[in-house]
Amino acid sequence: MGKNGTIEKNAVIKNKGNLIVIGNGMVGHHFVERAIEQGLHEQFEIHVFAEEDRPAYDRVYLSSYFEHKDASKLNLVDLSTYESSQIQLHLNQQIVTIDSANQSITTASGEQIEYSELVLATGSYPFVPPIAGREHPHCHVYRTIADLDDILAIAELPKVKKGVVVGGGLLGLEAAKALVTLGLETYVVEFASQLMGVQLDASGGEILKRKIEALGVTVLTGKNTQEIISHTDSASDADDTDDDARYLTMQFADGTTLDTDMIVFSAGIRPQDAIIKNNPECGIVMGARGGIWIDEHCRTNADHVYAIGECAVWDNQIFGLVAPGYSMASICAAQIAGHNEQIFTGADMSTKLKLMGVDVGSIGDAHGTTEGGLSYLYQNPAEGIYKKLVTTADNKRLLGAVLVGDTEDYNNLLQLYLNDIDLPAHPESLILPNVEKPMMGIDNLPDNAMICSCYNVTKGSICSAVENGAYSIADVKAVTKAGTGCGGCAPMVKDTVSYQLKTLGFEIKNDLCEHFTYSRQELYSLIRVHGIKTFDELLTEHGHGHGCEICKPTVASILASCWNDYVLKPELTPLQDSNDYYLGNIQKDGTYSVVPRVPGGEITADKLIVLGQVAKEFNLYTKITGGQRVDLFGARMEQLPDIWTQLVEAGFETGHAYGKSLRTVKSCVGNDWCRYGVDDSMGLALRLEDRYKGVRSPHKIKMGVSGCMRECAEAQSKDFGMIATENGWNLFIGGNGGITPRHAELFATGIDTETLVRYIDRIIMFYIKTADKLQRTSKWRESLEGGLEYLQAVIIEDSLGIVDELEAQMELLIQNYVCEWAETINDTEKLKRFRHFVNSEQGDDNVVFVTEREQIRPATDSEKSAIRVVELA
Amino acid sequence: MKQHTICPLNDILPETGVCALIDGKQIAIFRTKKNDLFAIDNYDPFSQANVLSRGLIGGTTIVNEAGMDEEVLYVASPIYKQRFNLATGQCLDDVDVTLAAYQVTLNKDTVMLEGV
Repeated sequence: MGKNGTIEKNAVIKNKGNLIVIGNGMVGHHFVERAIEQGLHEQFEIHVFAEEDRPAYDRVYLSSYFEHKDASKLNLVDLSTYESSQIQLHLNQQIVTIDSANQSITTASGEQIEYSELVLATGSYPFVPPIAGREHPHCHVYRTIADLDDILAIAELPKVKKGVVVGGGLLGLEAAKALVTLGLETYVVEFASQLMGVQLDASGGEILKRKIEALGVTVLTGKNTQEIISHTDSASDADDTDDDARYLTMQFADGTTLDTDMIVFSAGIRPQDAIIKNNPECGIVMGARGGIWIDEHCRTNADHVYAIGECAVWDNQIFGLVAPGYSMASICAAQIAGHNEQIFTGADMSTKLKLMGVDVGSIGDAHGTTEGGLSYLYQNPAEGIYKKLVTTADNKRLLGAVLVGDTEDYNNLLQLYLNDIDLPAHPESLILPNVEKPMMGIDNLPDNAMICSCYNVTKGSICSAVENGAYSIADVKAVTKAGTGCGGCAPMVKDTVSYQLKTLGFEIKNDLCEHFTYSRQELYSLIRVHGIKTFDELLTEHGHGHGCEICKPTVASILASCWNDYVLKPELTPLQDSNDYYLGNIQKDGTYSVVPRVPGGEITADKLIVLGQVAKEFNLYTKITGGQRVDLFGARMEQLPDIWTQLVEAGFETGHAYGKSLRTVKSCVGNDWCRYGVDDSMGLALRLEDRYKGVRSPHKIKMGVSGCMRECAEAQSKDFGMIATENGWNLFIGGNGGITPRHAELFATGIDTETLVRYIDRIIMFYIKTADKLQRTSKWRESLEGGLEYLQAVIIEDSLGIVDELEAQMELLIQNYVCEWAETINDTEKLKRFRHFVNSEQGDDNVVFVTEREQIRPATDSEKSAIRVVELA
Repeated sequence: MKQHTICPLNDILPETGVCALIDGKQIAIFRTKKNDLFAIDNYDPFSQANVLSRGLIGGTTIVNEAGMDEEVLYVASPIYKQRFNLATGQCLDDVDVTLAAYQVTLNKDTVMLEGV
C-alpha cells in the first residue's frame, strides 16, 4: 500500500483485467457470489452478460409463478450487492463469438471486449422434437419467465380449455402441474413407455402414473407425435358455432390423435453451446454429444476459459441439477483466485421431490442395472406406495432405491448410499411399513457425510460450527448455509446440531423459559399436586424473576385445564395473551374476529338472521369457516361487548375461536337426512361439542364425526375422528391439518356412544397432563414411547390405574363451564377494558377498511395514505 | 413541562396496559404488579398496528453496558411478538428499532404523563 491512497487505487483499476461471465442463471449468479467471496471483484473488473431481460431468478421454483404471478418473488440477485462490489450486469446482451487466441468476446451488437478470465455459464435450452407444426403460436417451451407469461396469455383465451405437455420427465410433470393450476384439462404425452424413465423403474413409473391420473391428468405413454395439425381458423370462428372445436390436433405414430388448445414441450434439455458450435475457429473442445468439455477444475481446453453448470460436460456427463452447478461455480471461483485444491468429481444425481403432490425419490442405481445387484420391493397399491431397494450381491451395500408415494425413508437411505455404510441384516426392514426401522444415527455417519447438498455442507462442518459457538439451528444456518437451499435437509441439520451439543457435554434442556426450570408437564404436576391456583403462587414457590409471554399463557392454560376458573378473574387476566384477554382473535390490523359457536354447523333460520343483522349493523366481514361456523371479522375492540350482547341475547355462546381449546366438531348430516347415513353423526357431534366446549388444552382441538364410511366430515384429519359403522363407532385420534398434516390413527373400533365418550374424556385429560407446550395431539401421540399400543393400554385397559381420576377431572371441567362472553358482558368492571383509549371515547384512526367483493377488508398502507389525502381535501 | 391527566390508577389492572390518547398520539401505559408505571408508543412498527398496550408484560435478564446482569421489563407485541423495553422503548429483538418512551408518574391515585 503506497502513501498516496488515491494514486494507488487508480493504478490498481488501470491494471485490472476483465473477468467476464456469460450467463446470469442460477449457476452464473452463484459464481458471482462465490467470486465476491474470493475477492475476485477487487482483482478484476467483473462483467456479467445475460441474454434475458432480468437478473438471475430461481428456476427450481418456476412453477410457483403461476400461483403468485410475481416475478420478484423468484429473484435471486440483490442488485445492491452487485453494485457495491462494482459488478456490471449487462442484461439483454447476447455474446456471439469468442476469440480465445486474442482473449476477447463479441456481443450481438458488435462490441468487442477483452477478457483476462472467461466463465461460460450459458446453461441449457429446452429440447423440442422436430415435429411438423411445432411452430404454431400455441406451442411453447417451459424454461423462462417469458415462456410462462406466454403460456399464461394463451391459457387465458376464452376458448382455451385443454393443454398437452409433451414429455413425462421431471420438468414435464412440473409443467403439467402448472397447466392444472391454470384450470386446463391437462394431458401428458410421453414417448417412452413410462413416466420419469431416468429416475424410476417401470413399476415406480406405473404407480406415479396412477397417482397423477387420480389428480385428473390424463397420461399417455408410448406416444410418438408425428405431426401437429392446426385448426386456428375453425377454433377462432368457433365463438358462436362449435364450443368443442380445439386449436390443434396431435397425430401419433400409432394412428391415434389427440385434440388440444395448447402444447408445452418439456422433453428434456440440451446444453447451450451455440457460442462454441457456431465458432469452431475458437478451438474450444466440445463433448461427443454437445456441451463444453471441462476438466476437474472446470477449465476448458482454452487458457483462461471455464465452463460451469448445464452447458459443461465433465467425464462425458451433463449435470441437469442445480447442486452440481453450484459446486462447479465454487470450484471455478476458487480456481481463478488461485486455490486449486478443490476439484469436481462428479455429482450424485439422487433426487427427492413432490410432483403434483406425489412424493417421489430416486437414489443411485434406481433401475438395478448393476451386475449381481439384488432388488427388494414393497408395493401397496391401495395407498399408491412403491418402494424398491437395490443392494450389492452380498447384501452389504446400498446401490440404489426408488420411492413413490412415501419418501419418509429417503434421507436415511441416501446417507447409507452416499457413505457406503453397512446395511442391517435384513435390508428390507429399511422400506417395510410398521416395523422398527434401523435409522441411520448421526453418530454412524462419517465426518464427510453430506448433510446439505445444496451448499455442500458436511456433518463435519456442522459439528465444527457448533464447536465454535453456533449453538442454535439458526446460528448454524447462518454460519454454514446448511438448510437454506431447498430445505429438505432441515431435520438432519437439527439432529446433527443436537448430536454435537450432546457430544460437547451440553444438556438439552426442556425448560419452559428463563423463569421456570421445568417443562410444561412438570409444571402441570406441580400445579395439580400442590393445588396451586395462581401464577404468582407458582412463580414464588417454583420459579424466579418476573414471568414472560411464554410462561404466563402456558400457566394460564394449565390452571384452566386443572380448575377451569373463569379466565378473566383479576388474578388470571394478566396472564392471558391478547386473544384470551379480549375473547377474540386479534387480526393483522389490531381488530378482532367474532366467532360464535354453531355446533355441528346446525343453525336455525332465526339465528342465521341474527348473525346477518349483527354483521350488517357493525359492518363486519362475514365468512363461513372450514369448521362450519360463521366468522365475523373487523370488530374493533370497543365494539366487542355490544356485538356479544346481541349474540348472547339471541342464544349464542362463545365459540372459543381465540383459545387453545375445543374449536369445532365438524359433522355431516348423518342418518337424519342422508340416504347413506349409518348413524346419527349430528347428534353425536352436538353432544361432543357441548361436552368439551371451553376445555383448555396444550393446543387447539378439533373433532369430526362422519355418519358413514364416505367420510364427508373428513374426520380422519382431526385430533379426534368418529366414523359410524354398522357395528358402532370407529374412533381415530391424532390427525390434524396444520403445518405438518397427519392422518389420524384408528384407536378403537365398533364402540357404543357411551364408551366412545369415556375414551375421549380420558384421552383429552391424559393429553392435557402429559403434552408439551403448544404440542398438537399428533406430535404428542408420536412422542409417546410405546406408540399407539401404549396409549390404548392406558386408556382402554387402564394399565396405569388412572382412568377413574381422568374421568373425574374431566367431569370437573365440564361442571365448571361458563360462557366467557355471557359472564363478561354482565360485569361492568370487565367491560371497562374494552375501550381503545383509557381517556377518550374515540376509536383507533389507524384501523381503516376498504371494500372488496362487497365487504370490508383492512386497507393496505398505500390505500390508507390515499384515503387520508381524500379526507383532508 | 406539560402534565397530562390520564386516568385513575385503578383503571389499569396490575400487570397489564392501557392506551391513552394525548394530543392525537397513542401512548401505551403499563402498570406492573409492584405498581411501577411505564409508557411507550402504542404503535407497533413491525405489524403497523396500534396494539402494544394489549401485549403481555415480561421480564428478562440482560447484560447491561456496565457488564452486569440486569432484569429489564418489556412488553411483547400481541401480533408478531417482538419485545420492547418498557423503560427505554428499545426493541430487544432488533437493535435498529427504538420507540419513544415517556415519563409517567402517580399523583395521589391519578396516573399522569409528562411532556409529549
